[in-house]
Amino acid sequence: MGMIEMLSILIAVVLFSTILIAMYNNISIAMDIVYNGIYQLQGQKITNKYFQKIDAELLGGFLEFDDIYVTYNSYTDTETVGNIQYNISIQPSYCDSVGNTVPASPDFGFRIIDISIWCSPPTSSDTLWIGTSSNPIQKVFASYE
Amino acid sequence: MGSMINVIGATAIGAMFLLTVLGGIFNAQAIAYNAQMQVTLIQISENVTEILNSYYLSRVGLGIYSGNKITYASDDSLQFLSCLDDDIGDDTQYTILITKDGNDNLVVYRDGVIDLGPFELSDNTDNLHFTYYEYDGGDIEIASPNANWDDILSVEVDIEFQYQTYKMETGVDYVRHKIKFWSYFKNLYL
Repeated sequence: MGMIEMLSILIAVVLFSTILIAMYNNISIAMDIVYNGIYQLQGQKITNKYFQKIDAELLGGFLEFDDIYVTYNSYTDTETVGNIQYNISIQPSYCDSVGNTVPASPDFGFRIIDISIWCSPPTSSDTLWIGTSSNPIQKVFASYE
Repeated sequence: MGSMINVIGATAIGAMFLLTVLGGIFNAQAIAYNAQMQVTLIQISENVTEILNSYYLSRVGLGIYSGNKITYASDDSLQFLSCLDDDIGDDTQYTILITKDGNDNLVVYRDGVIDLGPFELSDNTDNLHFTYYEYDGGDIEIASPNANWDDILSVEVDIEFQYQTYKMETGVDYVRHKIKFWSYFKNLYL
């Protein structure tokens, strides 16, 4: 076998290997998307927990509507699910009936709760945000009175 | 003779190369298949937990005006009374039991008859775990829930689903999906 044929075969092998590497890379990206989806869904369940909790405590009279702001102002917490720590940040604001933030006075009887969560997935070096401080997951609560 | 050895050598090298390539492609296919199964498992388990939360747990004690609303509570079982789907207004009370069957599958019984499930849970011991809370200035975990049904106001549910799939080395692999969600029993808060 001559040198040229040998080189041609080597180049062919190298070129073909890039197809396999690209294939594995694409699958790896797809897996990252799948796992990030899992963490985002779990983050949404954590936000749902706090929305439920506030609603239930208001219904039960354990939390006064006027105390929502003080109780949850700059509130932070953590929740661990499957060895992943979710860092929770809650910020309530005074708002009107459609969720536009307004000054504390006059009180329209509405509060908007902003929740943002971040975690560090083991499959990625990036921080994963579920709602951000500029685009949080939100819910408006209305006074029953 | 020399060319014969060349041919044998070339065949051997070519075969090794082909086997490596085919093995790589097969492995990639198995990984891609597992990713697809993971997505399917996520879709199914998210649906199941949504039904558990929105249809069953959010209606604990619904339409029950006297006596215990929760009638049994343990680490892996929760039984309660509810007028679950009172769409004809007949106030029918049902006994709902969320638990595991003998094969470690998630099952929901309504008056002793399967209403939802079975769904395969993982082979980990904590594949279905209820943690109960009362309220005393904050959510306080109840150590002995079955002795304090009346105090239970919310539950934290840890649940892990699994699906058997394929791995090249061992032949069998499992994809799993662990979910934690919370349900505040608003009918008990009222």
